[in-house]
Amino acid sequence: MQAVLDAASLKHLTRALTCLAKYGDELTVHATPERLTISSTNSSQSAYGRFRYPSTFFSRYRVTAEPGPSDVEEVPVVAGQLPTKSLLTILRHRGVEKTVDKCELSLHDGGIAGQDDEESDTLESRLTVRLHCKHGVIKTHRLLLQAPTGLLAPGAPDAPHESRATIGPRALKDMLEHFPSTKGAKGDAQLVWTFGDTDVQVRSFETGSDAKGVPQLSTELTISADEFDTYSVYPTPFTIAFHLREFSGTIAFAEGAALPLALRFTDPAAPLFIDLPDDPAEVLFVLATTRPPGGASQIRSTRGASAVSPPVVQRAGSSASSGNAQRAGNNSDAGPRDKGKKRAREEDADLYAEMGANGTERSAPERPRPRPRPVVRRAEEDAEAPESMLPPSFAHPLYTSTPQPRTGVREATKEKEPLFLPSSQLSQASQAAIRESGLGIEHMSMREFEDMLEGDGEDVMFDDDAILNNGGDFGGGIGDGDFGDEGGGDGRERGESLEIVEEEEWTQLEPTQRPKNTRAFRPLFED
Amino acid sequence: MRFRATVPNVNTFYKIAQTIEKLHKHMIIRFTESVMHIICNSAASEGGVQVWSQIEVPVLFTDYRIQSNADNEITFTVHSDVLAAALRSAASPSAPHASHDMDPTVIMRLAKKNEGAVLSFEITGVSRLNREIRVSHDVRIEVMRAHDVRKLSAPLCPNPDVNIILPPLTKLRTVVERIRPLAGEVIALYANGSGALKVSGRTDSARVDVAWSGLANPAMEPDSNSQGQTDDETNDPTKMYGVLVSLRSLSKFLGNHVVSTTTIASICQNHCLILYVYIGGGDAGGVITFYIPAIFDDPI
Repeated sequence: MQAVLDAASLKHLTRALTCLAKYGDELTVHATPERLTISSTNSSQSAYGRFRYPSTFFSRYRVTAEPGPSDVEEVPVVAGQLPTKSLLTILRHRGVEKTVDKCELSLHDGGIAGQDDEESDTLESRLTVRLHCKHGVIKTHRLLLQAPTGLLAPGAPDAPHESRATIGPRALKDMLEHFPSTKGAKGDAQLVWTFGDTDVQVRSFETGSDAKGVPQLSTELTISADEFDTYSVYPTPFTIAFHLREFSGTIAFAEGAALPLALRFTDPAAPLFIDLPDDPAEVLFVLATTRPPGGASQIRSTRGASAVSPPVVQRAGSSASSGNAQRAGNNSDAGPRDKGKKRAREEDADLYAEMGANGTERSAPERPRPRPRPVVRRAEEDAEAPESMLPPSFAHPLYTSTPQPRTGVREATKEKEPLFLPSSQLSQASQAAIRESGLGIEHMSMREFEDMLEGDGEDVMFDDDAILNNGGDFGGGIGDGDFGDEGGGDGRERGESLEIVEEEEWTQLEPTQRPKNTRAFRPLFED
Repeated sequence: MRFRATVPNVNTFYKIAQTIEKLHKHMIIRFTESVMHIICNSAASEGGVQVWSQIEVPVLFTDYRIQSNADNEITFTVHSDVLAAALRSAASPSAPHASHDMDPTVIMRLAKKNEGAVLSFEITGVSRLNREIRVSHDVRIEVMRAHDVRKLSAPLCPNPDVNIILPPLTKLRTVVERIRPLAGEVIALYANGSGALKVSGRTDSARVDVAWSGLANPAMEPDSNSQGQTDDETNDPTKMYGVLVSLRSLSKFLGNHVVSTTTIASICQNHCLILYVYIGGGDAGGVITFYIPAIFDDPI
């Protein structure tokens, strides 16, 4: 892909990148012969921003790519991903605005054969930025591209009952100045908007520097609906809530472009779509809506699409990330399970520690959701509960106070696996110790367990075969450093899964479940 | 307990809050029937700046109503940055400004919200398009118990030995910043009754003195902390009185340079440095009092 930008369009691109930098760390670039799309999703997948530049935006625009062998009809596509900051530092460099006459962008997808030999490394994808400055100076920057993660944009519903409100950026900025800024790690303020018939009320809850997490400052702003250029909201009153951080990035962009923002939303659970109708690039932001504090934070079932990214965004969507879409689709059919990425993230969040390794969460049973529209549902597949995306540090006290949603977790995870040993015979601590030992013997009944310890098993040998056979039965916790010491060289030779037991260890064994000793068990039976 | 007041001049109040914000994380505010006290004594132990301020209520508030079981006094703690943020939005240029028939009013009230006390600020005004706009902030506060209130007492100070109007704080700040690398932990301030001020820093290897002359020595009215004896006649006006204070505290204090118009320093030799910072001007002014205790490092 080769594209040439003049100074004015470069400025637009720079502003777009600044805005996207507020959304996420990685920028996805996707080029087709008709348009160039740059987009970014935030780390918790609760906000998405996309700028789509038609080929007419550029002074020159050309996309060529070798189509893959299997697709004959396929439109050539060049795509890649890079950290937003790296591109931004190049373009925001002091003096760029004043001295650059034109900027040349080249995207070389290293995976495709037959690229320009002098520019590309056949295995590397690269974005080359060439700034043609005054006095004949040409600055060339080469950035490595990673393969795109395949995240596509969330779909935009075109619901008939969609509410729409347009507002100029200045008025919006004035309004938001009253709210405490989200600088610092003190927490991401959330704005709760309530659209009434004639008034619009915006509220924020913020946790100040109080370590106890008590919200220190809450602000409420009421303005007349006349501030909005267009205002059609139904049903009224309508309440929607989302985080301020990405939104302020969007507002900054709109203010720089001096263009009004169009907000579109369908229901409180659906994402908020923001677009700028008058911008030369098709601009779209999708923000996940959250449940305002005071209501339980919903956990969306994370639909783990097996690496499927959200469906290609339609023009109208806002950048709400999957969070919204996900919310809406929460109760509906369990879509494909969520990506491991999201799962991992959810696991990180303290709130969701109980969700388990699978990360499949059930939606909060208490709030039935309307069946989402197909387009949105697809988006939900990748959506994640916005609340789940809140890093623990953001956890609003009210969020943490509602654990009910999580009680619906069906899938037992390792932590929740019931112990099969009759609990009357084991104390809690023992049970915990058993689990910890990693032997995987939780499932044994008491009888089996005693058999294992004391029954007349035949395989009481130290020879290799028996050990090899039985070594695999137990959980991975066995083959650890302890045995290295005891077995010396022997133990290590036999591999990690073996337990080597010294004579003394064995005789020291008691039929209690002390973890250290249990690890020293020789397996007598194959389970 | 009930409390309500209208704040016609949010700017001054905001500047005061800004000043404290730079120095302390929390502040104690005590409203009595006629005076508003601002107290920050958290840094007392390490020679830090303390604020013991009294501002006459009519200076900042109108339509002031207070009622409580404790002699109609209310004392509470609040986070400085939160209060400053709330006031900033009220005082900011984008805040609702006056239209021809309505003034932006800021009403401050004590309220209860979610089982906690909050200081609620209600700002009504007119937006850019002449539509009514209302902003309300709820700042969480913690009302202090009477027992704790009784424990609060301003540090005892003898009569100041000398009072002098400091040069503009901006300049003083620059000087102190320059001295900082050359001085140790403490910095010394000397002043005399003839308008001379000296700031010096000293270490084993270096010594820096910066002197001003031609400053004014105001005659101070006796305030509650001093016994009412004026010293000027009895003391030699050219005698320098000095005090050693922590350099860090002084630098922090000088961060107020943006808000003050005039600052008067009262030096109690080897005891403390009291600074009266006047904010705003004219009728809408207030004064904040800062105590910086002396450090007994070496005799002056």
